[in-house]
Amino acid sequence: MSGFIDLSAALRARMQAFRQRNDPPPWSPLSTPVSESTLALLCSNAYMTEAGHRVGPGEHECRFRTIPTEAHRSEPAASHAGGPDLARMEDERLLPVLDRARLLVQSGRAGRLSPRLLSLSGAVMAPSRAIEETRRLAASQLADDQVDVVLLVPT
Amino acid sequence: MSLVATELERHGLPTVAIRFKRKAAETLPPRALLAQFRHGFPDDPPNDPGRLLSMMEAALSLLEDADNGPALRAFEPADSSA
Repeated sequence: MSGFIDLSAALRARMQAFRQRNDPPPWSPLSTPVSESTLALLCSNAYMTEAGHRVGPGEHECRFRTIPTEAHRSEPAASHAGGPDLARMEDERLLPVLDRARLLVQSGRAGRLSPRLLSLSGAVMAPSRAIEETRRLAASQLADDQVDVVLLVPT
Repeated sequence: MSLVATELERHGLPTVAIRFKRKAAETLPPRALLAQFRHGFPDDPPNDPGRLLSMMEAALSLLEDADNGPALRAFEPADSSA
């Protein structure tokens, strides 16, 4: 994928119309030093074929996928709406990030890694839906995993 | 990503995002590390295994340093020859 300019004009216009501005944005201070915190990873993914067609969970949809950080590989057929091939591609892109996060924990830079990694794929065409899903995750998975900080990494 | 980070912050979860587009980074995320890499290629290039780790470390440092409000910082890679 080369960039935003490769998307259709109609799609770019819709995405720009949805751009939200918070003045100032919500902000939460650290309550625990990072070296003692549970760190959660949230990775974004986007795929384009050589012909320039976007592939993913559904046209103009964004989806969250949960991947156990202890497993070397997830179960792609069961966990990805785009199918097993796309899931394998996504997992391979996530592995370097997961590997570096483990190094951060091993070196003491971060306290511990959350048992579940979040992968976000697709285009956020319906912000309200993405917001609602984020709220659900914050209240459930992230709370259950006792996450203290979230690191968002593009892949 | 910024939308998700903002919503997480609203729920009391500190976040920091690695971004590669300044325009996108300046819109929303409470803390953003702006790194220079080609869209779709954020991971380490050949023979440079430390760059991604450095970016993640720098992002965590930004999380610790930005203790009084939103922040945008440019990632400055150290010499990766080590």
